[in-house]
Amino acid sequence: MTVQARRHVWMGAIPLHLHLHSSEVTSLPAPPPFLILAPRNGYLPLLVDAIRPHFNSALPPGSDTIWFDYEGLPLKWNIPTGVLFDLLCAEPERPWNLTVHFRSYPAGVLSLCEDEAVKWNFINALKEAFYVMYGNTKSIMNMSQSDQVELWHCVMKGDLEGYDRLAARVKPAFGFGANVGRSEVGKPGRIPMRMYLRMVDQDLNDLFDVRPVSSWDDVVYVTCPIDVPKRRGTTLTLRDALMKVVPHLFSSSPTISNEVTLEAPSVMRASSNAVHNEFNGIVRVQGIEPSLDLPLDWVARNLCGPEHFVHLSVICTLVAPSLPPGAAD
Amino acid sequence: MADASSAPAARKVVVFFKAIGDAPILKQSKFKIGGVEKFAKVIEFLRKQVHRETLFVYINSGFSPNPDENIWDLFENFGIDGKLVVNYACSMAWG
Amino acid sequence: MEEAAVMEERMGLAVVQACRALRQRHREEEGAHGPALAALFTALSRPPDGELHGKMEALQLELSQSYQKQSQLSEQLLHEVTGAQAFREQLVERENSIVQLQAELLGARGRVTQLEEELEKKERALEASIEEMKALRIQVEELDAKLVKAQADNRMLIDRWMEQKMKDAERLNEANAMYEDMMERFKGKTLDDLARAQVDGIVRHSEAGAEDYVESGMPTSLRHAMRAHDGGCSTLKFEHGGGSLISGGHDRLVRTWDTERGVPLATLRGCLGSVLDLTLSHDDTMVLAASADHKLYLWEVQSGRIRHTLTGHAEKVCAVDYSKASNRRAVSAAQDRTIKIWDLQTGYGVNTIVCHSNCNAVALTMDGDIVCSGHMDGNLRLWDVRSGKSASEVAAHGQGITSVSLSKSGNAILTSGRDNVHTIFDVRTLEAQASFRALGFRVATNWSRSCLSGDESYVSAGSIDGSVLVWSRRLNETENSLKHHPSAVLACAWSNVRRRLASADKNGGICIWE
Repeated sequence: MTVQARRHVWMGAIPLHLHLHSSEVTSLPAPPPFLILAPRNGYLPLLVDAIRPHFNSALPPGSDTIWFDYEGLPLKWNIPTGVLFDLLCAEPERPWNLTVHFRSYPAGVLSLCEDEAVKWNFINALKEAFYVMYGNTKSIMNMSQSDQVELWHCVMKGDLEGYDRLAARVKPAFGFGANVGRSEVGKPGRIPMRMYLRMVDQDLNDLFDVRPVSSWDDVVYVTCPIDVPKRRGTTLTLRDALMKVVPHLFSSSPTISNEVTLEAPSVMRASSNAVHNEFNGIVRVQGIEPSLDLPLDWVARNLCGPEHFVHLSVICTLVAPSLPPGAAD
Repeated sequence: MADASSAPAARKVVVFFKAIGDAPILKQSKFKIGGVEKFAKVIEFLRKQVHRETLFVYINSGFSPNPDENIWDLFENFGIDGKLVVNYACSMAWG
Repeated sequence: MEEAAVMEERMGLAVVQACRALRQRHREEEGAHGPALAALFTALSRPPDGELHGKMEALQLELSQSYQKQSQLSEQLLHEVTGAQAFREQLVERENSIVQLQAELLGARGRVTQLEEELEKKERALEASIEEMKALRIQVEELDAKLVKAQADNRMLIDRWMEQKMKDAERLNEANAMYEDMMERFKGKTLDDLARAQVDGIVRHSEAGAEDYVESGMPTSLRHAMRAHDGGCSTLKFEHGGGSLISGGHDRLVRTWDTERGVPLATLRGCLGSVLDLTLSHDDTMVLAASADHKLYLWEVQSGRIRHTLTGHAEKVCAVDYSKASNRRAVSAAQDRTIKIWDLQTGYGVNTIVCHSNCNAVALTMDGDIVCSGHMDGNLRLWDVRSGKSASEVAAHGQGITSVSLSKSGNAILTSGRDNVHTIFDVRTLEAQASFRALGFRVATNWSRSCLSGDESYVSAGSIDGSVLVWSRRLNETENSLKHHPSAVLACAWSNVRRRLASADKNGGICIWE
């Protein structure tokens, strides 16, 4: 079942309904919207080859750099498409309606997306993740250039088998795939996690009419490695991780003593948290809203992206309201 | 994040710049930068100091963080001896 | 443990739920839309009913594909063009850098040649300096050789000089021997001389011009002592025919004195230097004085006016004599080693005799044709006035001659030398007739004047100790020593008319003896 889960993650794709921005329409009638499946772990600019032919005839003359916006917000190309969807589309709409642009690149908001920028973004993220996990980037640095290129192709094609095959060649053991043997030596010290925090001024139960994100400044973007406990038998849950990163999103209960720390056995906390500590927000990973009891270890192995980062999209209310229990589920 | 709520604006990070290869060396190698700033600010700052349009910036001689990343996070995660070591080069240094 | 088990169960449940959620999501997203999209595409691409429609669709598809291709190609072309542009720019840049480098190379080559030239120049300069040095070395060697030679010459010259000295000494010895011999001869002749003198006296009394003749006597007493010239009186002469005395001194004055009363008569002024010697014309009308200002002054005694100032000597004029035959002629000697003959009518020199040795004293013979000169080298020389040529020469003294005086008859010459000897020579033969010397007698200066009495029987000279010695020629020994002068006696003179002797000293005093 776990293998299935990983395959689902890798195959994950969001149906996009792309509209050419009206300022760039030069043909009559306007080209119809374009439908495409965008891989969740992919990046939007990679779709350009599939999209451009459709709109090409309508485009005004000039050089083009593709970019997308959702409800007026330019989409960062360096964030995986699935994360963008989970974060920005509060109430999932399928297909996701996006506006596509080929002109007037918003350089002030988005960093430039040059030749291999997407690839380098991926490689650097991978290295960063490795640095978090092992304290250095040697494994990636030692990869041959051709292996690196091939790895990138696997990511682009969503070729899980090819990816795992390449990952197996990297020491310390690369990736968390079920078919990759994990030794204690290669066990990472920390889990690379990236959290995108979006505040809404609305009840989390009804997100249909939520105000769209108008600026990236409204999104808190945190890279938060989670230490993996060295002691055997202790297992961290997603809740423990969230407790560490966003403790203020938990409604504290007077029965909980402040002495409870991250270092305390999770078992102890788990029992008390189960009753008292409710999470006031929505957590989304790979398109699902998982139970906070989910072991972090499992999350790291199955729900991470090919660059090994676990991307958590968190939607929470601006002023912490007293939420009814079960809202986080 | 727990600390962030206390006094996020006051926290500053000592950034230590190290030139790689033929990149010009800065007169001053250590700078204090507000923790709430994005890494993009560091890149921008370096570009102005070095007068180069294309600059490759790395942390701990390892990777280029995303320009969106928070400097305090980077410091927390990758800081060494109370400072954030930032390497910069005029050509790509670490594939 | 129970709690742990519960926890584990919860976690397991969570995993299951997550898997389910993923499947659910899969079903909603790619699972649902994938096939739908695929179906849509196939529906679009599949020819519907009708072959024409199908064809059209196919053509449209083809068209869109070709469009795509075209767009791809144009994109590629754009890419290529930009690439080419970049390459061209690079090329231009490279060319520029090549040109620049070539220019630099040219510059560098220029500098290299320049440096080479400089090197060559320096090498040449070095060679030149080496050659120069060689030449200098050769010169040094030559000079060394010359020095050695010169040293040898010098040694040789010294040897010769020493030889000469020896010869001189020998000659001096000879002269001494001769002198001794003569002394003996004189002693032998004394009686003869006495007899002859008596005979001569008789004869002369009867000769013409006998009224001039006054027999000299040995002066013994001081008649007058006068202060005559400040700074010293160097010369004095009696008038030929009168009793007046004329003196000259360092106060630049010439004075005439009444010897009878011992008072000054007149003073002749105008001379600008010390008067070193003076002489009177034969008729006593003119006085000619030799001065240290290189000139001679000619006064008219009567008026006291200067007739002429004679210029031409380049040094102190130390001796002068008037011709006894002509008032126009005079002779002078100066420290410039010349003897000059003057025409006093015009005031011009008519002849100049250049000598090897400085002349301290001069005297003209009675006929005025011969000049007798006494020199520093001790020689007495006779010169022909007209031709200026040396007529005769004799080594009279071992040291410089200080005085030359002619006897009144003109037959004998009295010379005094720094060897403190006085000698009388026969003018015609230049044979020494008599010598006089005295114990303690020393000549004071190079210009100490001795004198011979009018009858040639007494010789008088002043000594450095202030005494005036009078020798009798007949006895050839010191007859008297007159003492009154406080300082060295420089000159003395006999009066022709009275038996008087005048002497002058270094303090300017004049004594008249009887």
